[in-house]
Formats: sequence, structure tokens, C-alpha cells
Amino acid sequence: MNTSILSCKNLSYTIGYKKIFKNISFEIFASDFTLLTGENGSGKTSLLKLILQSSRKKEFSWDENLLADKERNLISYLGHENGLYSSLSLRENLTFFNRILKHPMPESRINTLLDLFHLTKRLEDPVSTFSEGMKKKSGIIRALLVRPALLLLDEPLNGLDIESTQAFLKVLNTEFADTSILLVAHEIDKISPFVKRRFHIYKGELNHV
Amino acid sequence: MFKYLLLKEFQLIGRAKNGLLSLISLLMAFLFIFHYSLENSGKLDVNSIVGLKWAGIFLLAFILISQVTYEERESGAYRITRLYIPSHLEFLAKSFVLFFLLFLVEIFLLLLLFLFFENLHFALENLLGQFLYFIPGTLSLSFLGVTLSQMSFATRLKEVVLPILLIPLSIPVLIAGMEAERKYFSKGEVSTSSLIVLFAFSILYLSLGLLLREVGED
Repeated sequence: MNTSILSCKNLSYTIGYKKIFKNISFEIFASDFTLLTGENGSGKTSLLKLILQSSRKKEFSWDENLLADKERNLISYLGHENGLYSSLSLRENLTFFNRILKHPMPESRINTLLDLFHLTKRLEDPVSTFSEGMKKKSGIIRALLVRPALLLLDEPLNGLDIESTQAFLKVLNTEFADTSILLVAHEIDKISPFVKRRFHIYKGELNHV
Repeated sequence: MFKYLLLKEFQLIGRAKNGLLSLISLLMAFLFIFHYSLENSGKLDVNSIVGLKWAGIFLLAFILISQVTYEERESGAYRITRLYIPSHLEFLAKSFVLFFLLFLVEIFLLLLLFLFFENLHFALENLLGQFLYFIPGTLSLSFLGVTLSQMSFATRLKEVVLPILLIPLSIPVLIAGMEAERKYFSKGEVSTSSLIVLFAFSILYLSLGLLLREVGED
């Protein structure tokens, strides 16, 4: 039986007067691929951001072994923004983010990811000169530098071409098999072969589908 | 880890050279207007020049604070960096770089003041005396600026909040700095009590930044 790495109990959340979540509870299990769906504005991104702050919120509790692990970062995150410094080159960005990890990725592995997403030739260019799709791919590479306990991906397929989408899903399925993944997407058909669990947010409630 | 943060901050500054050049142009225009409109009709006294100088410092700090934190707010890189780096290191690295930048531009500001205003005599003692007050004043503004920019990042209004908070909280530092320098120019010696007041502000804003760093998170 899978062990729970993160559990959330009775979480309520409001933004201004709008109630986003009403007493929701859920668990994320080790090595599970969980899909999070819901209408626009239903609170999917808010939930991921709340998980980012989970260490400071009493409603969340992490597996203590993971918290004590000095070799493994807890979370990697790709949001709607790519999380890169736009005036720095892609190389400078990846070097910086790789250096600050608990377990930096070897350069050969970064080069493989760059080749996979066809970004090797643009390595020295500032991220601000990239197209939207290239920015998304750069953000994906940045998020995949980490081998975290939990990988949070907020609509990572938006703006990706078919080849990059397939490459990305293949990397997730093969190389991140031991990582718990919580992915927000509307393209359910593309993701469903990999999904083990699905959460759906509707009117402030989180349903296990 | 701190050295990687500093390296990243200096790389970001390296890419913002045009911004710094425009800042220097703005400073020259600002002082030239005062020189042309006031100095020509009667020399400005030292007290007024000191006031002008601290007004210039505030203007520089205000623009630089917005510049050095803009990119992280826009691209979400700040949120990612804080996933892996303790927030106090991020705060200290950014404050240090802001202080360094401000200090460089302030040297230029001083040289311009000597050039434009006759009552400010260029002498090494004068220069060193003023730097003694610049250092704690600039430190205070750097700590305060980074604290407030991180706090404004967490608000829904983002950068709109920054000036609303920055202006009232900078005023005590500016008043203390101006008073300290006026004493220095009237008595010709460095006042220890004024220095202590300015350093106390630095420590206060440093502590504030470290204590409030959680407010700056999402």
C-alpha cells in the first residue's frame, strides 16, 4: 500500500470575500501521479500555492522522513510564470537554480534535457528573447532539475508543441516514477494514461474522482 | 549558497546597465535644474545643499528599489528561489547589492554636488565626513526598501503599495541624516550621537526585515 507523503485536513481558504475552499481534505501518496482538474477560477492554482506554503500551515502535515531528508528537496514547482530571471540567459538561470539545490543535477543531464526540448542553441540567449513556448519549455527544464518528493505542475502543457508534450510526458513517466506528481491540466486525454488518481474542484469542494 | 545569490544579483545588475545609466542622467538633470534655477540667482547655502543631497538619495533609493525587485515579481523567479533558499539569505543578499549600487551612485551624486554648488567645498575631509553618514543612511534605506518590496510582492496591489509604505518610513532616516550633516558642517566634526541614531535605524530596519520576512511570502 502506498504511503502518504502529504495530508491536508479541513482546509478552508478565502480570497477577499470569495470562499475558495470549504473544509477540504486530501492526501498525496508516494510515487502517485495525481491530476487536478476544475473550471477556470475554481482554485486549482490556489491549492498548489497553498501546498507551497504547507510547512507553515497547520492543516498540512508532511511525512517526517521527507522533512528530515537532507539530500532531497521537498517540492519543485512550475506555475503559470516560468520562474526564470528573464534578463539572464538560460544557462545562467539553470546554473543558478541547479547550484542552490540540495542535490544538484549533473551537467550532462541538463544537456540531455536541453537537447530533448531543442533549446541547446539558445542557451546563451536571455530568456526575455524567447517565444512563449520556449519560455514554458525552459520553465519545465528548471522544474525538472530537482528530484523532489512532490512535483507541482500548473498547466505545464499550455503552449507546448506536440513533440515537446510527448517528450515531457515521457520524462515524467520514466524518470520521475519515484516522485509524487500533482499536475493541473485541462487536456485530460493526453494525461490520462499516466494518471493514478484524480481530484476535481467544484464550488469550493474537492472531490476524489 | 550566499555567494551564488550574490552572483545572481550582480548578474541581474549587469543586465540592467541601461537602467543605471538612465538613473545617472536623471540625477544630473535633477541637480542641474536646481543649479540653474537657484544657484544662479544666489548661491545655495550648505544646509540647503544637504537637504538637496538627501532628497537625491531618496529619489535614487526609490527608483533602484523598484528596479532591483521588478524582475522577480514579474517572472515568479522569487517564489522559486525561496523554495530552496532560506528567506533571510535572500533578504540579506538583495539588501547588500542594493546598498552597493546606491553607494556607487551616491559617490557620483557627491561629485556632482561639488561641481554644481560653490558653497560645498571639495576637500578630502569633507568627503569622508559625508560618507560616514551616507553608509548608515544608505544601509537603512536598503533594508527598508527590500523589506517593503517583499511585503508588497505578497499583496494583491503589488508595486502600488511600495511607495505608500516607503515614503513615511524613509522620512525619519532622511531627517536624521540631514540633521547629522548640518551639525557636521556647522561644527566641523563628526557627531557620534548622530551616527548612533543612523546606525540604530539600520539595525531597526534590518530586524524589521528579518522578522517580517514571512509576511513577504505568498
